[in-house]
Amino acid sequence: MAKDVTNDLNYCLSLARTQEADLATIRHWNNLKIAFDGDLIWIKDLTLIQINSVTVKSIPFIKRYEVRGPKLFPFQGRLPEGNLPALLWSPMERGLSIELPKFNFNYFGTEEKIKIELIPSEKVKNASAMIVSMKELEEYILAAPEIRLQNIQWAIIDQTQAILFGQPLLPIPGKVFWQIEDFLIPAGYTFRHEGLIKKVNKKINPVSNNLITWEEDNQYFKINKIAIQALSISSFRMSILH
Amino acid sequence: MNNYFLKMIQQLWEKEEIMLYGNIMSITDEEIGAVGAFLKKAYNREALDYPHQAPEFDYQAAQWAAKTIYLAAQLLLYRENKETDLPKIILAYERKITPAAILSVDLCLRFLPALIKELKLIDQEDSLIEILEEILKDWHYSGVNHPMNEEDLNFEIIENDPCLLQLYCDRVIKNKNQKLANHKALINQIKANLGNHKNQLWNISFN
Repeated sequence: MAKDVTNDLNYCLSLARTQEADLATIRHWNNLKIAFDGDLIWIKDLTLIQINSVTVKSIPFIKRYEVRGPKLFPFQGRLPEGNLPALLWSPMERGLSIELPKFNFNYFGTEEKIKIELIPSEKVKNASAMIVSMKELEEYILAAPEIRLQNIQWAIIDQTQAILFGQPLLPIPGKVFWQIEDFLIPAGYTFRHEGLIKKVNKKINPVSNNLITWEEDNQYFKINKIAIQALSISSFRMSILH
Repeated sequence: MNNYFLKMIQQLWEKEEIMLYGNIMSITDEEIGAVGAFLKKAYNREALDYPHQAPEFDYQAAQWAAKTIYLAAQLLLYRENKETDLPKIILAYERKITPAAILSVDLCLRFLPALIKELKLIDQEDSLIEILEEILKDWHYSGVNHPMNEEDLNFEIIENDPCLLQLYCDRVIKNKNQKLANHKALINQIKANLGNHKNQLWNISFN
């Protein structure tokens, strides 16, 4: 019985060498093989779906063929046009090399700047600090159980605000922060370029003696780590008296 | 003149050690006055850490407590008296118990549970133990870490003073005294103190 050639139908296409760049859109189809024959480029092993796809059809000046056995038929044509030439086939990636843009050594890009900014984060971390108003802190702390204060450290920011560190934080309203390296950023946010924060830290906090509180408006202020003290009722009382 | 009484109290307060300078059971008024002044300073330092409004220092109560702990320590080391004489040496507190008195006597009486433990190591049957435990029952804020029968304790004064109530709860939490934490006078305050962080702070089971 004769072999049913429709079983191993396979498609190929040809294109002028000058149009090589147009093949970029199908270069990533890794089932394809490419070969060069004088002024022509041949590509074989396309599937029916691939040969019919818009991607292929939109490449200008290509000729599509159907390969039946050794014969080459124009796509959807009835009369063979010839044989598939015997060529040296190689995978697409190897046949079509990518030319990387050359690095311009004379270009220093001094104008380019990256803005360090905050973006909403999807990762959830434990809040480790909060900024509270002195008034609300005072109200809580003067009646606070010792056990809640034990794990808390604090520093005074200004006359009206203080920052608390530790876990669990106190049950008073305030703005909550979490910590990345030496940065305190509002809970729910992260840096757009997280990989750069070590560099930024080195720049604004060279000996790492500060904590940097970074706000949503991309302003920051520093808190000297030495200023952070254990929170107790007496430390609070003595601080507001002075 | 050497004020051995004051030296003993200072040593106890600063180093948490008892040091006696001989078997001296008599205490002069002058010595007591100096101890009172010392304890007042200590109290005022501590009161900075008290929640709410700390009550005023109660001289007489503090001095009575200092005498009690001093004499109990004397009796621990040098026992020359008969058992029947003990109530004459360790005098009962005769004034009214107030929040101020409770906090003032605590400066010295907080060392009483440790002292009772020492006495028990020497002689379980010592009648001094009974006398001291009776004192602790009245001043149970100082005996949170001492095994006591909660039913016998009077919480009326403690419940009605927010400062003392909070300090009492702090001490119960610190010593992880399950039984006292479940006492009806304290349970609500303790629950409020631990709040949502019960598992993290003290995984206590409430009755």
